[in-house]
This record gives sequence, C-alpha cells and structure tokens, in this order.
Amino acid sequence: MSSGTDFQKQNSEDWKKLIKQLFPKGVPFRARWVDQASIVAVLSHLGSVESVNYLFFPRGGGLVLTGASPSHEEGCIELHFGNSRYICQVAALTFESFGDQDDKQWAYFRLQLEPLEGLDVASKDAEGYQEQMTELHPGRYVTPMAWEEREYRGERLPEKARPLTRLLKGNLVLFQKMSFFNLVTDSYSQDQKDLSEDQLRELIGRMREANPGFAGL
Amino acid sequence: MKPQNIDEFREQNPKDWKRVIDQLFPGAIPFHARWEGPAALAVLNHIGSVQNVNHLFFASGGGLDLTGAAAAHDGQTELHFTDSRRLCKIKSVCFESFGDETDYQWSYFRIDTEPLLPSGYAVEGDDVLQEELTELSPGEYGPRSLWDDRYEDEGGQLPATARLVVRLMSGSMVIFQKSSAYNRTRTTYLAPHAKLTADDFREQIGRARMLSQEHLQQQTPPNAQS
Repeated sequence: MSSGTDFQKQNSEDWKKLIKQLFPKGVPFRARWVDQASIVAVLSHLGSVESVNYLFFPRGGGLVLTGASPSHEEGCIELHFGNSRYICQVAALTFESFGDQDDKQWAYFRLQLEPLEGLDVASKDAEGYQEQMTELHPGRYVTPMAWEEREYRGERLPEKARPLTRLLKGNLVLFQKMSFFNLVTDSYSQDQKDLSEDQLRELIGRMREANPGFAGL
Repeated sequence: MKPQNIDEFREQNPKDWKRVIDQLFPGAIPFHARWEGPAALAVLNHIGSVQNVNHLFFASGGGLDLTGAAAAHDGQTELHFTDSRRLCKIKSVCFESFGDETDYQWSYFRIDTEPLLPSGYAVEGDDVLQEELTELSPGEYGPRSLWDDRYEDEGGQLPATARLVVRLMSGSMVIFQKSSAYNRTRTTYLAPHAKLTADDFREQIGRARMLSQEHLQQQTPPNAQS
C-alpha cells in the first residue's frame, strides 16, 4: 500500500494522464459532449483507472466512478460505482480546465442531468434528488425492501435482480480524488449544485486563484 | 506527396479531415471544445500539419489554407499559410461538431481574436479588419510602401528582419474541411461567419447541414433505398 504522499503523487499523475489521453494535441478550457455514446465513452475512460476520481452527488456525498454503460431506460445511462449502479439521464457532459500545464487538479467534469420522473415503488430521499428500488428484470422495478429481504411477494428474487438508484435531478461534478476541491472543500455544497455551467466554472476558478500553491495534503 | 487529381482529392480530403479531428479527441468527439493559450496554437498546428486538408476564412472575406501557427511578440500569433503569414491576437480556438460519425464536413473550427491597436500606417482604402504593413522588427512597423519601394529607396536599406506582414485587426475566422460544402459555396467567401456570434453561426451551420441532408434524401430514388 502506498503512503499518502505517494498516493497523492500517483493520483495527480493518473488524472493528468487520463485528461491528456482525451486531448493529446491540446487540453481545451472547455469541451462538451451531448450524445449518449460519447458521454458513456468519456465516463468509462474516467473510471478506467482505479481511485483516480471522485464524483459528487447533488444531495451531498460522493463515490469513485468506475465506469458507465447505456441503460435499459431509454435515453439514460448507468453510472458504475464498483458494484453499485445509478441510472440517470445526462443532458450534457462538460470538461472544464484553466490552462494549467503541470497541475490538473482544478480540471473537472460536470454532468448536467435531465430530470427523471420518480417511480411510485421507489423510496426517495427527503429533497427528491434520488430514489432507490430493486430491479427484478430490466425495467421491472419494485420496492427497495425486496433487495433487503432478497425476496419479493414471498418469492426469491430472480438471479439478475439488483438494487438500483435513480438520480432524479440536479447536477454532478467529478474531480481528481486528491484535489483541493475534494480534500478541502469537503463536499459539493448546497449552493454549488444549483449553479449553471458558467457560474460553477467561475466559482472553481476563484477557488483555484485563492489557493495557488495547493499541492495536496 | 503525390499530386492528386480532383477526384482523388475529393475522396482523400474527407478522410484526412476526419483523421485530424479524431486525433484531437481519441476518446470521443465533443460537440464543442474551446482552447486558449499554448494549447490553442498546438491545435492550429495540428490542423495545419496535413497538407491541403483545410481552408481558413478571414473576417474580411476570402480565405487561405492554414499550415501552422507560432507565438509572436506581445502575445500575438503568427498564422502560417502556404505562401504567407498573418499576425493576430487569438482569444480562443473553438471546435464545433454535430454528432455525425460518418460525415465530418460540417465540423469546423472558429478562431476568435482580440482587437489589435492600429499601427497608424494603414492607408486609406485598407480594410478596417486588416492592415498590410512593413514590419521592421517584431512589433515595429512602417507603411507598406517601405517594403514595396525597398529597392528604390536610396536613403537607407531596410533591416534584415524587415518583411511584409498582414495584421488581422479584429473579428473571427473559421476553418472548414477543404472539400466541404461550406467551401464549395461561393457566398462563404464573403465571410458570413464574421457577422454572426459564435452561437448563431453554429446554429446556421447546423441548419445548413440539415437542409443538405434532406436535399440528399430527396435526390435518392426510392428503389435505391434499402
């Protein structure tokens, strides 16, 4: 296992490499993908190296993204977090950076979600950002309790049954795991998640300027 | 490179253009990307790296094939063309595409520039969007006539660094695939892009693309459809 400093260094290198692989001829200040195939390809790329990223949810908290795939739900994709799957509809995936050559910790991705209608069988969080359910087969959803109890209406769950989360609204951001944003600001706060693409970029740009020498913990 | 006839060019050019774009974005082609600073120059050099693949349209009308770009004095950029060069101050280089994986001819680049200060040597009749001058040394200018009369001037020779330059004073440029419908349309030489905002121009190109596809479909005889 690597020490904290080694991990910090490795993490920065991995993150830089992932970005460079997306844009080998020149890293743009902004890039936007809106078609599902490209969005899945880019997110899968970001999840292809272990523990390099951290994705923040609008309701608070976050997870390391490990991949993405098209969903059974039309127009939606599945975000992979290890064994957990989250369904969402992404209207646009944006990459933002600030022209730093050697330090890409301020470069980030933003997923703008298309609102999804909640399902009656699902259990929602208080603010309606996400809901949980059990999927018996593709597209057949039942109460999340079914997964907890490993049975539904007295029957054992089908082999392919799985727990699922659906993201209903808001926007997600994805940063380098050992970045200032993740380590110091702690979370994607209430006032950040409702910002527009441009407003968020401005805020992150201000944080970057206020912390010029930040090189991790 | 082996000279191509027009049919070979029309076949090869879209492939070259596609490769140039694919190499910029090996992961997935975005609908929009924007570069500034050194990365913007790197992208322009990449676009210019393949001979005869692109055509750049100036804000003042007309166009040339871009062959590269280099940093110049005072944050300016020297754009290189097959037989000439022009100076400008680049704000950003943008890429725009429409999610079409088989036809890249509507994908284009846009260069937005910052205004340059007039040199004071422009002559009446010069376009407000560009100045043709004699550059004595980087950033030091004289009227164009100095260059034109360089063999007649008995008073003193021009310095070795002197050359003829065109300064692009403001406005935007767009770069398209050389064999694209955009380049084959005569009116695009009148620089319609320079009269529109980046967003409005993108919308126009998107509309032109849709119309051309509908047009193609109408031309396809029913028995040719699968």
